[in-house]
Amino acid sequence: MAALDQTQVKEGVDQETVDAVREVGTYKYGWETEIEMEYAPKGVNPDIVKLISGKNDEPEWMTEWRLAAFERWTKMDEPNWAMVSYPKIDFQDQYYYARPKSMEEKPKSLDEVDPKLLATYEKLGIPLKEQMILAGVEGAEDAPAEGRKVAVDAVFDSVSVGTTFQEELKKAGVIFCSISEAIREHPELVKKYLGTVVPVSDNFYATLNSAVFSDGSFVYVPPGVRCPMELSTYFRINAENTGQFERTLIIADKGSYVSYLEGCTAPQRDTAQLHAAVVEIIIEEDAEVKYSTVQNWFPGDENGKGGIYNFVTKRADCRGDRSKVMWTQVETGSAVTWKYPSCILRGDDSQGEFYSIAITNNMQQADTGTKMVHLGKNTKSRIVSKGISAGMAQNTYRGLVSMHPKAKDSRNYTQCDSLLIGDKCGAHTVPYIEVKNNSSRVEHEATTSKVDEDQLFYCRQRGMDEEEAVALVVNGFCKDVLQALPMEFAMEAQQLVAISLEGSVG
Amino acid sequence: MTPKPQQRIRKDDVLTALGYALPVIGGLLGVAYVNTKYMDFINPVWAVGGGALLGWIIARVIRKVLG
Repeated sequence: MAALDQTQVKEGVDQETVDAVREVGTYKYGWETEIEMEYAPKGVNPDIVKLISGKNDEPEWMTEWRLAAFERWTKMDEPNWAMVSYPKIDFQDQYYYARPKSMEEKPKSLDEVDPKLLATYEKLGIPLKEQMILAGVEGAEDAPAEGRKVAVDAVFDSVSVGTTFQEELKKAGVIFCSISEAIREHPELVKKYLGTVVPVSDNFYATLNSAVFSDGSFVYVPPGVRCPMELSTYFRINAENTGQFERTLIIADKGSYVSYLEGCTAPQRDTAQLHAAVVEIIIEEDAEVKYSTVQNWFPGDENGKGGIYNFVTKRADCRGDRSKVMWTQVETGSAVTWKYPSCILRGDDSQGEFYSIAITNNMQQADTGTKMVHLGKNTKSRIVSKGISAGMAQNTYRGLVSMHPKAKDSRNYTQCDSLLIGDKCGAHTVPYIEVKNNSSRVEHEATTSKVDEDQLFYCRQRGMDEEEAVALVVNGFCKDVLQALPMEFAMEAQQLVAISLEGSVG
Repeated sequence: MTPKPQQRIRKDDVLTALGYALPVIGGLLGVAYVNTKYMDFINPVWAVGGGALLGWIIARVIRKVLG
């Protein structure tokens, strides 16, 4: 892009064309909303923890819970076993709470909503109907919705700006709101389930999250209810030098079903930013949860400057018999990714599925995979992981399949494929397999390959340029995972795969 | 006057065709089952072979009963 800036533009070429060309290959969501923000003082200490708790009007038990987490965090060391390297993070040199000043009081009409906030949603591609509700306008729920309904919870820096279709979901008995609202309105549910899947002291980043999480989403689907629409959360980091620490808690009661989507973006900056999230899913008897993520945080520039450090703990606990969970993730963004969505298959006949595409380009690093812990009898799991490395990126698959002594007749199938584009990138596979009974079966298949020259030649013969050809080959390579995504995300993910690899050939 | 040759499908022809069609349909159903119920971890060879064998048995039974 720098070369383009220096190029003389020919006479007669309008500015729109120049801007459009300049946009090609750049991060689409790298713009920043200039909005007045309110920050907590820099750093993390018990006062900041209390301040965050106070901002959310939390009960005392929650503040105590946070403080206990902070106490544990001060005694923990940052993990260094992952195959990622980044400059040491100064945890005292960033903001742990930032919210738009206009969100201090919930706006009652569109006129009161900060137009910049509205423009942000519009630019991110959130429909106008939802836009009204996301901005917290009372009564917007009654407006007619177009097309297929997807309820959205929008998290902007440290606060949830709004949640759509809450009333309609309430009619079906489904609770979908921000976690801060859930702590106030449904304390009995939060108290019962929070921290039961990812304990406070689970790992360094989860413990930090437990202490300082500011918002996130909460879902409760009552027994026997099939959630009438897809639920989704959109995370946006906007403020500079601010970490985002969101917490998501999903509870699928007996015989229920819910599909949940998650998307995220951040502005393009020279300095790295921290994102440490925790997702807990509880699945009771005969219930099913599908959790899909398209992670598109700013990945940093081609020299590795800036980007998001993404340290996420996601875990699903299949507590009931015949419960099912399906993780699908498309990881294209972040400078550093450290993420292992896991399934604890506790109930007999429970099932866990994990489908992942991790694309790393330029200087990106990803250490990602899954954990399948089989505890119940006749439990089944399936892992399909596709890793694509280009530029000087490093991509690691790290997975654990554990068959416990009581997990008789359990099955696992793991397929782990890596694709290398160029000669300076790396793909690494670190599978851990533990089988502690003699009736279970575990299968692991792994391949590492380069983009096939014959396939590229075939595509180029038919008029495609090299980047289009590589995108087509890579989309074919990822099709098993793309097919597992809900319709809303599948098309976007397919385009994202192609965009993420722009500039990786030639 | 010689009677016109009738083009009616004869029962024997149908029964003969079933002997070929049902094993093929059974095999295809086996393929479909393996792909839709992938978490059952069924060996595709067994599913296709089993489906074909089941189709063949059903065809035999039909032929015995109606033939």
